[in-house]
Amino acid sequence: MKKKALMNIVAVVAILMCALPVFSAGQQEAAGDEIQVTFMVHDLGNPFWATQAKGATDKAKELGVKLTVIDLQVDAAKEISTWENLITAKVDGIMISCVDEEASKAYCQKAQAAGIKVMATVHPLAGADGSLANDEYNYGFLAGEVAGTFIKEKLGGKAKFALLANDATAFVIPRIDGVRDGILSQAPNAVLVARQDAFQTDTGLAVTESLLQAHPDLAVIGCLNDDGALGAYEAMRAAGKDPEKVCITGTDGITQALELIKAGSMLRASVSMAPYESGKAEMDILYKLIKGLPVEPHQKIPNEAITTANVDKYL
Amino acid sequence: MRANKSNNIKKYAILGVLILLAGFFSIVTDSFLTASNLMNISRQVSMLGISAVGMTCVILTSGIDLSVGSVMAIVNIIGAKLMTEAGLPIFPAAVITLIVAAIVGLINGVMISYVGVPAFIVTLATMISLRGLAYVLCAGMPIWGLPDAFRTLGQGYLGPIPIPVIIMLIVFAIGWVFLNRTKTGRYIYGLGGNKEAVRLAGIRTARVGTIAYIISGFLTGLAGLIMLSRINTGQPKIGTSFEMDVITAVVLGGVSMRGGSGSILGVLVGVFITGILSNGMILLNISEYYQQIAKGLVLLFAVTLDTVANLRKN
Repeated sequence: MKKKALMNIVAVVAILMCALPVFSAGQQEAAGDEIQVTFMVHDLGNPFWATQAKGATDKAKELGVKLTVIDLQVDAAKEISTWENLITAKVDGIMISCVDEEASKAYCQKAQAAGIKVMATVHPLAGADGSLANDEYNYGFLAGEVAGTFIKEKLGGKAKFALLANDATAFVIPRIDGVRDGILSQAPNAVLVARQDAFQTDTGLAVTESLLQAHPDLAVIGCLNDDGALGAYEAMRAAGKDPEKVCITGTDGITQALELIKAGSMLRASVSMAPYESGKAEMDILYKLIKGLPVEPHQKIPNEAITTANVDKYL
Repeated sequence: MRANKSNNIKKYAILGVLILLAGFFSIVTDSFLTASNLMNISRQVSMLGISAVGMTCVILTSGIDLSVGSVMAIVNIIGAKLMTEAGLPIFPAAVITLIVAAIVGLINGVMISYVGVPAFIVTLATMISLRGLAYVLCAGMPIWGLPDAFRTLGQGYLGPIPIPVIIMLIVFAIGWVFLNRTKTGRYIYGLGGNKEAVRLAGIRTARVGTIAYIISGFLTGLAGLIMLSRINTGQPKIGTSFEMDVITAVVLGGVSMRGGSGSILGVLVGVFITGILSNGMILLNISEYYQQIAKGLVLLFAVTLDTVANLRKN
C-alpha cells in the first residue's frame, strides 16, 4: 500500500517538476519571438550527459536560442509526460536522448504535427527531423578491440573476461555486444564468464567484487561506460590484483577515467563521443532545421578509442 | 511475555529464509560458501545495515524516512568536497559531514514531530530537494582525488574482517542496547505501539520522535562516508532508490510498518537476506531480468511466512 502510494506521489511530483520549466518557457514565448528549445536529457547525473547539455547550452547562448534542460533521470514515464507538456506548450524545437524509443516515436509524430522540430541526440529516435547518432555497436567494439589486443599480447591470448552491461535498456545492448565481439575479434580463445548489469560506480564495484569470488582469475572486464569501469577498477585494486595482468575498459571518456588511463593503470581504454562538441553540433543542426537553413539533418559522431597513446588529446 | 514469544517466532521464521537461501547458493555454486565471499557479502551489506538501524528506529515510531538515499548523496558530495577542494584533513571533514547528515534528520524530525506534517511527505520532500542540492553542489560532475588514507574506512581490514563490517556490527550492538536497555529506546517502541498512552504517561513524544530521525540521518551519513571511501569518488547520483533497499531490509527483518514491533536482530537477518540474494545471483550469472523477479518474490515469501507464523501464534 505504502509503496503504491509513494509511486503515485512520486509520479505527481515528477509531472509537476516537468511542467514547471515548460510553463515558464511558454510564458516567455508570448513575450517575444525568441526560439524556445527544450533538451530532454537522458541522465544529468552522468557526466557524459551533463557535458553534452553544457555544449548545447553554450551553443544556444551563441545562437540566441532559449534552451531549457530537463533531466529524464532514465525514467520512461517522465519522458512521456515531458513530451505531452512540451507539445502543449508549443516549443519550437525538442532535443531528446530517448530513454524508451518506442514510447517516444508516437509523441515525436504528434510534436511534428504541432510544428515542432525534433532532434534525436545520440540515442536513436525513428522519424526525428534531425539526428546526431552514435553507432552503439562500433562504439563498444573499439573498446573491446583494445581489451582483446591486451589479452593477445600480455596474457598469451587466453583469459577470462566479464561484461558489465545495462541489458535493462534496449538501445545499449548492441554496445556491450560490440565490446564482446571486439574482444573476441582479437582474442578468439578468451572466455566470457559473466554478463551482469552494472553501469554506475557503486554497482560496478559490488558486482566486480562478487564476480571475483566466483572467478578469482578474472583478468578482463569490458564495461558499458566509464562510471561502471571506475567501480570495477576500485574492486580490482582493492583485491590486490597485479595491475600488469588486468585490463578494464569503459566508454564515454569522462575525465576521471582518462586520468587513470594516462597514469597507466588497469583502466586501459575508453571511447570518445566528444560530448561537448556533440552537444554544440546537435543544437546547431536543430537551429538550422527550425530556421529552414540548409543542413545535413542526420549526422554520425566520429568515435575514437582512447588509450595511453592518445589520451592527452582528450584531457 | 506473549509479545516477546511471538517476536521470537517471527525471528525464527525469517532466520529460516536466510538459512534456506544460504543453503541453496552453497549447493549450486562452489564460490558462495567461502570465507572470502562471506566477508565480501558482509562488506557489501554494511552500508545497508548501518542505515537500516536508523530506519528501524524511525519505522518503530510508525514513521518512515524516504530521504536516506539523498542523504547518502549529499554526504558523498560534501565529504568529497571538504577533502579535496577545501583541503580539510580526513577526520574533521568526516565529522562535519556527519553533522550535516544529523541536521537533515533534525529537520525531518522537527517537521514531523513538532509541526505535525506526515513523515511520508516531509521525507519525500527532503529526498527530492537534497538530491537536487547534491547535483547543484557539484554541478553534476563527480569529485575525485580523495586522500589515499581515506580508502581505509571502506576498503581496509582489521585482521581478516573488513572495517565497514566491524562498524556495522558495532552499530547493531549499540542499536540493540539503545532500543532494549534505554528509556528513550523503549519510548521509541511505545511511540509506535500506543502514542497517546506514552504521551499521557508524561513522555515528550515529539522529542523522542525527533531523536529517531536524527539517528536515521546520522547513521545514513556514516553509511555514506563508507560508500564514498569504497568508490573513492563523490557522485551525486549515489544512493538512488537506496531508501527502498533499506525499507525492504527492515521489513524483511520483521519490523511492522505500523510501528511498535520488531527486533534489531531480525533486521540484521533481513539485511543479510538482501545481500546474499544479490551476491548469489551474480555468482550464478543470472540475468538482471530474473534477478528483479527473484528479489520481489523472496520479499513476498519472507513476509508471508512471517505473517503466517504470527497468526498461528495469536
